[in-house]
Amino acid sequence: MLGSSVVLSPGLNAGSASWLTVVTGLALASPLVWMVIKLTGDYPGKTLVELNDVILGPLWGKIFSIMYLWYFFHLGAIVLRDFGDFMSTIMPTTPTSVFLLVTTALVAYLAKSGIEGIVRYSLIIVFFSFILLGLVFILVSNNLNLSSLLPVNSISAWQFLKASYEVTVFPFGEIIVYAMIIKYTNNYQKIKRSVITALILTCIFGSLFNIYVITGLGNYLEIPTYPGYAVIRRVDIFGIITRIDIGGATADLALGVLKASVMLYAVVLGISQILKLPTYTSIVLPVGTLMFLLSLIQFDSSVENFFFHETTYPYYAAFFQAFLPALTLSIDGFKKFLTRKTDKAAA
Amino acid sequence: MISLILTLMISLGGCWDRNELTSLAITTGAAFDKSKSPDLIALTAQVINLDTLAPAAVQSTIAAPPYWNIKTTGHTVFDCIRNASQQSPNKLYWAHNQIIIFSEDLAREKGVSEYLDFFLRDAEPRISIWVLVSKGKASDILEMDSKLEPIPSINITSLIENRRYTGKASAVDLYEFSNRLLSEATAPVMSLIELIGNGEERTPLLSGTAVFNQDSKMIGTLGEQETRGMLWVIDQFESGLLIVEAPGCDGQLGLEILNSSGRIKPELANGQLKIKVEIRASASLGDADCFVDILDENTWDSINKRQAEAIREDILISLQQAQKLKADIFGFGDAVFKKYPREWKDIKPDWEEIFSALEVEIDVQTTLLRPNMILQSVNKRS
Repeated sequence: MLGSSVVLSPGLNAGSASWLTVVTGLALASPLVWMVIKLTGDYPGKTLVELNDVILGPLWGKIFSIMYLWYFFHLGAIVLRDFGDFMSTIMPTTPTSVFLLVTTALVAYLAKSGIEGIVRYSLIIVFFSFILLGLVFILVSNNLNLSSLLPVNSISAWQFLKASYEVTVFPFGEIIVYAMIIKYTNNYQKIKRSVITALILTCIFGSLFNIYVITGLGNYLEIPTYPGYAVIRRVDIFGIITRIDIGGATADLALGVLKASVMLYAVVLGISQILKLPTYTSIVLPVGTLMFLLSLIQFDSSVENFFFHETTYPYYAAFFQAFLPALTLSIDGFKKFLTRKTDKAAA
Repeated sequence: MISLILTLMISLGGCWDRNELTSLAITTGAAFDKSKSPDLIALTAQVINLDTLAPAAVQSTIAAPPYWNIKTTGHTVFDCIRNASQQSPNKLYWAHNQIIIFSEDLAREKGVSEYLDFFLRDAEPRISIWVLVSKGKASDILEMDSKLEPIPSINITSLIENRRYTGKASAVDLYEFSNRLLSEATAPVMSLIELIGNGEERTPLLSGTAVFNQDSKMIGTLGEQETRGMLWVIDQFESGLLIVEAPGCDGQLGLEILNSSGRIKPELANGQLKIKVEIRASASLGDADCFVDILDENTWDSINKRQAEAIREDILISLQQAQKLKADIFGFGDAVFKKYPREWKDIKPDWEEIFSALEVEIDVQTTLLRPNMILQSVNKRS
């Protein structure tokens, strides 16, 4: 979940109050999280695709599932593209497709190795990325100016809510993808706790990251393409430790690969369940290739990508993150209500 | 399939953006002057001649100077840089560039922001390169015969680092200049450099500060004492000597500042804006012209008082000049915005006028730490 948020730093539109948007963003996302926990908790051992079939019947269940899977597929492609654009900015003459190709190859490999492979990868990568980001943070610390956090109320409440909502859909609302893989957790009872802990940790890290960007850049926050990266570019310890930007970029990229591989895994798993395939491994490469192609052709330029994130994505994502689960839950609730009534009538 | 992918990954990594040392012209400095045509930009880029930096034994056989100044023109900065490859066999490489110098007439007439965009936008240059204004032609600064350091732009970088021993010049990097330029109130500044002496004996002198307005045009300068005043207030005074009259004898004392901090506290009461500046500093007695009797009870206190007075004097003279230029070099406006964001909306449109008549209270508290190695002076008691 942290992946592309570190590169694109959502919620920074709110100026000096941007670190708070992460907190309010999570608060706004809490109904979405509740829906995911409720759905998966009511149908233990079932993925999103399977429980759609149970709740909505075979036809509508599949239509809903296909919409979800499209969203995960598209989101994976967006994540890949975010990182492709980012790497191309650092290495301008290398074509974006090259970065997309090598990251997709790794993502496909991870998805093919299944949930266990992804989790093992994540353990190592999250550990090293955090050490790397922590190291960068220490090196940057003499450039941080805490007074940049003031004033807290520099923007109107409406602008603040808008910036918070951007954080809600990206990244918090994307928790919906965990409805696909949550059944693989060892202990069912702990799902609620682990999801909430993960979200709170993400929230703390996200706020800290935004604080670090705001205090590290000051007024300059308004202009860089990648604010987090701009902070790292400022590191200059006695002219000896300079240009450590590539370290930060590596950590970002490793986290992005993780996110994209979760998306790809969810898609191929869902497809195999819809089509009743014996195993999902055979379709990882074809679907991965399609994801690579979509990420390549969906935007003509990185500016189009930023524009999409600013304007279209918040509404587009809300359809999958809020509308579809809410509809599924209410139909489920209505059906349960009806059966209880008929049960009573029969009795 | 997997092994094919892995092979591809290894062989493709970084292919297009590789840089070979032999095909690069490493730039260490850039200078912008007024060009003959108003539409064109004139750039002088200083490139290191790598051969001359070879070990001494090899070096003696090479007669070429250690650097080469490429002069190009173009419609934009990037255009100039690409046009340089029409003259240079190697492509200019900016990752090790140290300084950008603007000539004073260019900075006053055209402003500098259009020249800075490239250095911020491109991935090669560092955001921590120093920016300076030169009295006279900027390209002359890159051509001087520097004494201990063979490459002039590296020489200037060392001078900028050295400003921490005097506090008489400011050191501003690309980030800080942009940060001030993007502020709603703060006036951007740059270091000021000039050549002194004549003919073969011309050496650079880094002294004072160039002050810009919000349109990035240079509007004036600060002298050495005024620069110090600014550095005290913005908490960037690292070290330097304060010269004060010695108490009880006819001469002067040099006090070396060891620690200092500056804080800006705006206060808004009954619609009246007031700025309080708090300076804390400590120094040691560095030298004395005459017999200063430290063992006398009052002398030490009296030197300390003179220290505070000298700092206050620096700040006052700096404030006078800033108010005359109507340039908020201290960032008072930003401090007001941070403390009173609502009221700032009304203040902002007239900020220049308000600043030029602003009441500033200066609170200086100092300590005098030690007389160093000798307690009494070798000077004869008068």
